[in-house]
Amino acid sequence: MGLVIERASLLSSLSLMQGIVERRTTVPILGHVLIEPDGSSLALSATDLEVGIRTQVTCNGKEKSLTLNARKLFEIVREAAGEEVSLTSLDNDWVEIKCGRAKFKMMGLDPRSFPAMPSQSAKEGAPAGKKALKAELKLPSSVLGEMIDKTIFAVSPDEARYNLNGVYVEAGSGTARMVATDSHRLALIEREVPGFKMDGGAIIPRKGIAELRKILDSGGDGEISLSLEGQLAYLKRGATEVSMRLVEGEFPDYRGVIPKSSKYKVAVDRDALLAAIKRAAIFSSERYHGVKFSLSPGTLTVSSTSPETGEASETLDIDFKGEEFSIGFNAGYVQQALGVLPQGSEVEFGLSDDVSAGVMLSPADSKYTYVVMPMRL
Amino acid sequence: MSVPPSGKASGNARRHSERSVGASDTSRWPRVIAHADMDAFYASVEQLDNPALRGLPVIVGGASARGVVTSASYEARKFGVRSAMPGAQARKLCPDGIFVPGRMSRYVEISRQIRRIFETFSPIVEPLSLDEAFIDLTGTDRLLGPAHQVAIALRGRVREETGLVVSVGVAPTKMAAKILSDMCKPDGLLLLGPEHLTDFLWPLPVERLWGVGRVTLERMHQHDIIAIGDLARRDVGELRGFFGAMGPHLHGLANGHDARTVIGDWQRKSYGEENTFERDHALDSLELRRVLIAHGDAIARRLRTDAVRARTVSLKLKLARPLGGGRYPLLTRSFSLEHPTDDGPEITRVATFLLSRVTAKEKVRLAGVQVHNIERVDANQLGLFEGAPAPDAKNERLNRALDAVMKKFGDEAITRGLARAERVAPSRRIK
Repeated sequence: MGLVIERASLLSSLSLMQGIVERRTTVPILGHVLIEPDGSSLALSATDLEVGIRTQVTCNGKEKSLTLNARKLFEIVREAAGEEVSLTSLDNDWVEIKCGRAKFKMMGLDPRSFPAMPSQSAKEGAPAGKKALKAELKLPSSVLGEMIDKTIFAVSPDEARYNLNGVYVEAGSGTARMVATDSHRLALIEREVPGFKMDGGAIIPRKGIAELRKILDSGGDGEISLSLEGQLAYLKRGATEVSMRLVEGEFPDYRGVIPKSSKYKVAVDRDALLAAIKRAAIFSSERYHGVKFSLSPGTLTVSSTSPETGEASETLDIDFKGEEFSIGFNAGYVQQALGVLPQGSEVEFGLSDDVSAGVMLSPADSKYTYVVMPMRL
Repeated sequence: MSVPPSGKASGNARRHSERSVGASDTSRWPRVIAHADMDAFYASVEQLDNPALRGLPVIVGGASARGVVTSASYEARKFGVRSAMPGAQARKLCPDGIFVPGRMSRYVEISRQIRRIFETFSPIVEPLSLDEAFIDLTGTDRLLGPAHQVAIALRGRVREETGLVVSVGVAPTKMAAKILSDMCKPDGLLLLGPEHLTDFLWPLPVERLWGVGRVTLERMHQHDIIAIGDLARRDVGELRGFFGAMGPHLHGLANGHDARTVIGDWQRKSYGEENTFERDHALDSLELRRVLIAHGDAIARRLRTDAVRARTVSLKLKLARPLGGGRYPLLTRSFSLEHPTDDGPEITRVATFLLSRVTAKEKVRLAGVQVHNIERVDANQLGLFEGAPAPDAKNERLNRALDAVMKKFGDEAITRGLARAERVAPSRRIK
């Protein structure tokens, strides 16, 4: 009896689970991985009931299904010396783990009490009345990865605003669109996906899309398929599947808040601006992170003052011919957006006045729009 | 203990005492904490507003059956009248005393004015009640000069702008600053350097330490601990045996270790209002509901003034059945909301809900509402969707309008009908 698994592949599978298992859960089994041997492979599963991940690892030997604390098992396998790890079930859900000359005993839980993956439970509870969502987003994994990277940072962390706790996906004409906002700023990206159609949109939860993002980089840039069905988003790549419950709720009307035009357009070197903001932010207050953008003919000055600590300012040369004016922004909001734009590129700022939204566009990527509301300084 | 005179006692000299004990260079102190305490605050406000009362023994509160004295002028104190004394006793001690009812809204108004003065000296002001506050003067010396001069200036500003007198203690710890302001009353200023801290504390009776209540004091006396110095010289392990975890804590305080910092308003942890009733009320009485409405509105308004919201609401009830020794059973119940609030009716709704869950059938003598889990509202960051009405936008507009009315016409200008129906006794701010 017992399973023998290659240490490296077990480690990489377990590391995928770490983002999902709950650290401080009141339900112990949500901190566990389910291990289900099936012939020459075993399936590892973890879920927090909202997001689930399931992956296959090859193995030798025979064993019944087990559960083990995901964090502890990960630490054991990470620190293990040998090339292989063996798992053997003992009585009362205890499991013996051996690797090299080290031996561990860990208490598992009854595998029958392991909850169903969201993919299973969501199918059981089909939505009543509402028209069922069914869409298939097929695109290269690198494109999906880029779309996630350029939007996910704008998702609201405020759990009270649950309808902003995810990335909104919808179809354009021959395109897929992803939008995220925390009500202070908004990121929108659109990419060509011929034949992509869906009725309305879906909000993919932040945690789930972050987990999904992790498996996109492995295994080359092949085409992948993200299924949006019922209350569920689902993606399979190689031996790994991620499923998650969609956020229920109405995504706000994002189109209405993107300015159609701006009074001033200012082109700035992305790298120089990012560096200037980072330096100016040293003296922005810890509570608000505000930095001031002052425009005057030919220059943009980025500055900050803190009554307690000091002040900073830096001037960049720009092509600006309008009237002098200044506007405050949360430094982090601007930095994060600049951070996802390509190095060495130029960004174009659209500004109107100190209480209207600023728009950041990337001439290198006309299908990416970032809108940020100012701060009163 | 040497008592050198302070550097300069400038102008306008009715000052009773302005002394620096060990007026060392305050810029070298680890912390410079001032405790400012208004002298006989409510009584002084009455004398200020009504010149006919000046020089007379004025006693605020204590007129009704259960009423206690909330403030007594120094003229009344000569007869032994003290705050928190039952009215009947005060009348016996000072038959010629002039008893006046309290005017809480006026006291609140002046208290705000004073707080604004304090805030011009330091951004970190922690009000303890309407008439006292800690002010963190650490690092202000470069801007404002040495701490004792700052304290002199602060006392001068309060006197000039309000006509009232404030006593100030300045020390490296909160506890010492508070003891000092008490010792130098009335009309005094005392400053104590860190090198004299233990010399100063040790001869004082041990009950001056924060955390030594009646019960602890009795046990201290059993172990021959009378003065703070007796406690300071004891072995920590021994004290742990006597008083548990509190032993080492009190030992630290006795040796001048008081790590508590001044907590500015925006870092505040809770807001509360409570009052003791003139007569006991049943749990399901309308009176109790009214009190909760008044408390909810008052707390919400303070939250909005400070641009914060609270997530947790608690209800505090003191039952009317005495336990002996002036103590009563205390009940507290809490509930956390999904979204933080600064709305009076919502706080009242939760408090009323908590009240409905109390199963005791007894009457209550005190009801209080408190909110915790304070979160800052970032009013400076503009929102993308502000044009579209949020679900509670109507309420927010109403609250803003109420705040504007009260700011212009005073706190009494507008209240909810039910809260007004019977004028509730002035509530006491807690924390």
